Order: sequence, then structure tokens, then C-alpha cells
Amino acid sequence: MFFRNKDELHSLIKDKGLLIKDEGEFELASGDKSKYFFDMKLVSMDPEGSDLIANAILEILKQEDIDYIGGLESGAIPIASVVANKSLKTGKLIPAFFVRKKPKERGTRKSIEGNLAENSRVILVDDVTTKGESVLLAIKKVRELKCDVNKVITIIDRLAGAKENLAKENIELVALFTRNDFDIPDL
Amino acid sequence: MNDITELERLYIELTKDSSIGGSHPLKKISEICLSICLNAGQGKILPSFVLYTIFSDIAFDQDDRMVTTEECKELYNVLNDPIKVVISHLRNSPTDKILLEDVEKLIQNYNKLVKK
Repeated sequence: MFFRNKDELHSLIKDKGLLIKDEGEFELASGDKSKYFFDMKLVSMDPEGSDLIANAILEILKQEDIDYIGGLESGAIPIASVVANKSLKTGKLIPAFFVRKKPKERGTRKSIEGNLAENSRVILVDDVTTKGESVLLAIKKVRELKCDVNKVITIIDRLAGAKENLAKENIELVALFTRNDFDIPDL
Repeated sequence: MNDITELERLYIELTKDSSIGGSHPLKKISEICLSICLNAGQGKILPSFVLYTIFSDIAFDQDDRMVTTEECKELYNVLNDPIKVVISHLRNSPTDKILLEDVEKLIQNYNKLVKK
């Protein structure tokens, strides 16, 4: 079941989320340039895609004892939300939260929205990791609440240093897929 | 290393491919500009504030979406010269008239892109 689910997710990402440029390049958030781009919101906000992602993550979470799931806006929001929703049927409820890149300048000025209590055990999710800079920001905010976080689950790891950068913070990066799982031509 | 030297270094690094792009490096540059604005003398407040506003605006715009190098090159073509002039004014302390003219030119060029 797990592998069929992953195969279906792989096909969906390949068909819908993986964009390859024959001419020109994509500019990544890190400042690096690339011939390919994973537009994972096309998958994580797709009815079938969100279901497949949640199933794959819940499978990993079977081995984990955690209280909450979350991540940095906006990539992690649809992922954490659908996992929280589907946890309802697993018997182990996992509420979700997200970390703002910048606290709201008015009102409560919170950096973290949703469900997260201090001193909790947390797993973070991300849609695509390159160097891991975005998820490191989320880790910092979550640790400020004295939460225990030692694992990040990403849908795609572009294999550009995220694993190594997270390891420096004693965080394990678990990728559902890496860029090597896709036929990306050397353009 | 002081903030202005660091800003110059980061800007050269950002534009080494004749483009302005990458939300993470842009955010870092905007934070340096804000630091200059808050800590430097009065003559540096206006140029550093305008630079902060423009860099953070571009960083915010490019964050969380697909960005092509073509659009980053267009940003460079339109903004690089006026940005370099305004950055140089952080060191040169020009007259108010020159400073205002050059800052206005940068803002006008940026507005041209935004309104496109």
C-alpha cells in the first residue's frame, strides 16, 4: 500500500509539479539557478496529491511519538493541514501549526499560528528543500518554545545541502523523494 | 566588517550573474540596509531606508513562487545602475539635492517595473 501510494505520488509530481526549462533557467530562493523547478503547491493542493502526501507522511509518523506537525509558511501549510485532518482516522490525533516568516506587525504579533504548545515533540514538514534555509527558520522558532524537534520530512530534497545543514542542528532530513528519483535531463 | 562594506559585498555577490534574484540573499541584504538605517547618521537614513524597502519588497515578491532568470535579469537591467548610485551615496554624503534626485530615480525605475 505504501509503495503503491508513493508510486502514484511520484507520477503526479512528475506530471504536474516538475517543470523543466529548455531555454533560460529558474531562480531559486537560495539565489541558485536551475533548469528545473518543483512547483509542489500544484501537487500539495491537488485533491489526489494532498491525499497521497498525507498517507506517505502518516506512514512515516507511525514510527514516531509526536504531538504536533507543522512548518514554515506557505509550503508547509497544506501539507501539515492535511496530515492533521487524516490523523483523525489513525487514532492518534496530530494537530498542526505553521510558522510565519515574519511576525504580524499588528495584533498578537505571533510567529506561530495554529496548534503548538511549549515543551512538545514536533515534526516539521516542507514541500521542497534545497539548502534547508527555510526549514531552519522554522526550527529556530519552534525551539524557542522549548519544543523537541529532531526530524524534518520533505516531499522533495533537491540534494543541494539541506541534509548536511540540518545535520549540523542535529536534525534528520527524511525525503519522500530526491531529485535523483526523477528523470531530469542534463540540459 | 561594517554594514556598508557588507552591503557592497553582498550586492556584488547577488549581481554576479547580472541578475537580481533569490529571496534569501535579497532578505539578507534588506536586513543590512535596515541596520544601516537604524544605526548610521542622519545623511544615510533616506538612502538606506529606500534600499531596505526595495530589497525587502523584491524578496517578498519572489518568495514562495516560481521565478525565472529572465525576470531577474530585467530587474537588474532596470535597477542596477540607480541602486549602485544610491549605495555609493552611503559613503559619499552628497548634497541633499543630488541625493534626492538619485533616490527618486531609483524609486521611479522600480515603480516602472511594479506597474508593468
